[in-house]
Amino acid sequence: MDSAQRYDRQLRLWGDYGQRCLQKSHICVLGSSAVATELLKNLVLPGIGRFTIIDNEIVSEGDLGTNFFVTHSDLGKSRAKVTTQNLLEMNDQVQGDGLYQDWSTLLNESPDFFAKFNLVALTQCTNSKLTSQLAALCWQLRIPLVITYVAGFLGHIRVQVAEHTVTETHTTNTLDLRLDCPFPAMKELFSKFNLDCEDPIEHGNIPFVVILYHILEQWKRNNPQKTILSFSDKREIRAMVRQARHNSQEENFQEAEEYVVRALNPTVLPANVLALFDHPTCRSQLTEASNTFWILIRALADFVNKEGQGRLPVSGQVPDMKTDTNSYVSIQRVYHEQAERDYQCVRSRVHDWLKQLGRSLADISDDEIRRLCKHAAESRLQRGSEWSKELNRLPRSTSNGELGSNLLWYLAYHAFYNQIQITSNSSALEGYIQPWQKEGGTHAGPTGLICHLQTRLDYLMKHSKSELHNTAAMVGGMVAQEIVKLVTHQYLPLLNTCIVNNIEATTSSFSW
Amino acid sequence: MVQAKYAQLYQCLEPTTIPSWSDPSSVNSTDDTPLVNAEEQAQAREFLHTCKVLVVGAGGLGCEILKNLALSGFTNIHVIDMDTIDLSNLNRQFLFRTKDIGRPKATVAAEFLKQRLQGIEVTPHFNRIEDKDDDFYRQFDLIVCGLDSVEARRWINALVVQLNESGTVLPLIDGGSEGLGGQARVILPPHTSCYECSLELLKKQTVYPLCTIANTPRLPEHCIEWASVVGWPEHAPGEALDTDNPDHLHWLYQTALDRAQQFGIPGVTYSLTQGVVKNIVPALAYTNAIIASACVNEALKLVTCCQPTLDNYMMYTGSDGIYTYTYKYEKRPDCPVCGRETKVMRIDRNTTLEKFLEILSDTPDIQLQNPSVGVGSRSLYMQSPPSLEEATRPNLEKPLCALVDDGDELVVTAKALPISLLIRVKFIPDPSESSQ
Repeated sequence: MDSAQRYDRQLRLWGDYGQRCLQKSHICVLGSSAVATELLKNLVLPGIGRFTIIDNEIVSEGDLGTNFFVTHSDLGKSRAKVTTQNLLEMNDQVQGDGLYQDWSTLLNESPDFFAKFNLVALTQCTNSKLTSQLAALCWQLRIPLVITYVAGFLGHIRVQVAEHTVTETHTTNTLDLRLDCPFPAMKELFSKFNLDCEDPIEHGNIPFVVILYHILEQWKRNNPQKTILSFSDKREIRAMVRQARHNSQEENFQEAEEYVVRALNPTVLPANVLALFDHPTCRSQLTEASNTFWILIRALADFVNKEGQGRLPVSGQVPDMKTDTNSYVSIQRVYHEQAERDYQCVRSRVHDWLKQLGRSLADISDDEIRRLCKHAAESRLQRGSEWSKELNRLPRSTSNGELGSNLLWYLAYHAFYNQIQITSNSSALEGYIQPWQKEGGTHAGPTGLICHLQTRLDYLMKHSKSELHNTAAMVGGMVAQEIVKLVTHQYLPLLNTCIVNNIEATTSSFSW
Repeated sequence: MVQAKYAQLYQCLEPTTIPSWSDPSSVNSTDDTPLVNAEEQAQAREFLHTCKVLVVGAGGLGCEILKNLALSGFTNIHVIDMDTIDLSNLNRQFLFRTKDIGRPKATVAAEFLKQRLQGIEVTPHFNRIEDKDDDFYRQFDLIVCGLDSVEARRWINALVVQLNESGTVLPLIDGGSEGLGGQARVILPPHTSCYECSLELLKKQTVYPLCTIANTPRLPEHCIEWASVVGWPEHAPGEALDTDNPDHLHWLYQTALDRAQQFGIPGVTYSLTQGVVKNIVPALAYTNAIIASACVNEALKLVTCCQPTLDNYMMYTGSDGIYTYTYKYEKRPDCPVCGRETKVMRIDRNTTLEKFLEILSDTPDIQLQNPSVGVGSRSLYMQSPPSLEEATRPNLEKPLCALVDDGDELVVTAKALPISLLIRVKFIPDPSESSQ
């Protein structure tokens, strides 16, 4: 109860399941300066399981002005150890270790050390060779890596994750009413309502799903050849809804008209789910060691191919609608019962797979199977790209699709990580500018672009050791947010780079 | 020593001109003169360490704002908050611990900051913002707001607009957050829009019609509302419902659950009951961190002039990647608080005064609860004092045309605002009259 109360404001977002994922996670943070402690603050407060900080710096005067998790009396002590203590003091449900050590030694001598973490975050590292080496290791171990750097008013965040699976996006407002493919119990219930009834109260209480169901059946009888509704078909159906109402005041008919477009979308397998079914792990590579996500997806695919007749399990979620209590409850029940039948089928398919793989049935809880069935349409796989490839390639797309101030900051960061000294006659510069010359040429000309890049790179170089606390706090907030998304598999994570520009109070995201 | 502590900060404050991408001429400009010279730079630093800043709210945003200000070189900080600490604050309000539950937020926040960081002064005010007078607010050079209440924001905004109009320069930086999103804005009257200008951006609160709650409940929320609106007054006549009282909450939950079971409605939980009756908004440590730093970023730039300040609105959402949108929220010429034009309301002449007061509370860009109205020095309806209320009550039933003339300027006041609003009523021509 205590925990539920303490975490109440976040449980309302990611639920008990999200909280359990967070509490099971162990993350590694390399570095313990402001951006590292700020991101950790935002993970310790909501209750991450465990963290490990690795840093061989000691607390200096400079830290006192930028880092909230050191005090004057800590001067000269291991910064990793001091900040770990001060972070843990905020939440006794979290465990943490501060290692006074050079992480590059670990990377070189015992890379296996990193295999135990759910995620690694690298902060304020200027050594491009070490960054690349760590990124390659994490890529190979399939551990998500976040790389971040704060310089003055600028910040850079890069998420490297090979494959990330999402179970709940919280963004799509899906409606699963099956009006185009009604199941038997639904047909039986809906046919009890009479659209032609005279009684105004009865007529005004027919739920909109029932109205749309009857009108659609009627329309199908008139148009037996059509299987997919076009926009003008929907317009026709809307006109029929309007004709069936007694007067314009009937809220249930207003709702029916509003829902025509959304509720009559065909019940099909979403592309994101199809992509999961086509994934080699789902098709043929399930093993005893497989992640539970892939066993669930395979069971789901089996369900779709057999009992589901090409469709996902019914989610069982019904929107509110203008009607009387009994009608609403009976409609809710009919969808819920179908969802329950579908869930039972998926459950037995999950159990078949667990048995076949020689695993315990307890490996996947009923709660998890229910969650999958309820949010099946949201499941998706996101593919990231490798850090080392980025250094030789330019972004494929940008948030606004054009060359702008923040893309130049991105290029400057790129050069900064590569430790490229750009001068107006450097040849390294050409590679940076060339792809953008066509667009930028009309704007500032190649020399203009060089000047833009040069001033930005100069800024980053000059401020490479000035970690403005406030920028670190913002970047730390964003990095923590992305880490929580990655470990809970909820919401959609950043793919894969963000520039934080606090000079102009803007941010831009880039991916490739 | 001070020098070493602030070395990184000072370097960031050195003015650097980054050529603007949207202004190509800035690239080829050979003028390298910095925005401010060395002497002005030193003055700006001095001002950063001496200026007086007020933080309104010591909750999720407030804790972050206070920390960021203190680590950005602000040393003279005041904080005002009327709340005490609750267990559910601890997942984000990092200046508080379990042992502090029940103590004033402002006091504990100030104590923690002073103990953790050297060389700063933090003065707590365990007060409602309305309890302080103009002179209190006038002593500050800047106000940074991290509130979760619309009413409190409107009050502070109106006060700031009024003070700026009377010659005090007092910028207001306002942050707001909910779940994975939020916004930060700079309000500097008369140069920018104010909070009231954007009132219509607010999401309309879900209101469940009483007839649904009473007769045709469908959702668990309907049952919970019934328990609090209909059930409680019958159960405890005369006793106000206290949503912070666990006994009251438990009674509501049980009653809502019984009603739901009676109707066969699933989904009433203790957590949902709490959410509905307390109107709980989900809140996260990191969203607050992002919005608070967006606010303090502008405070720092504004005070030191090292970079241009946000003009004037940035919205943020983090549910799909990281997304921000920065733009200029335009002033509304007829904003009732900062506008120069009087807002005009077109209204039927036969509308009763009572209905008119209702319209005032429902209009998206006014939203004033329990207003008092006058014309010139004549009171039409006054909420208080009781004697005046009684004297003006008969006017409520009268049509507007019996009380004011077409085009009259009404003076509207309400507890929510420290200033009065001017609204000009224009009678909609009555078709039955014009045809005669």
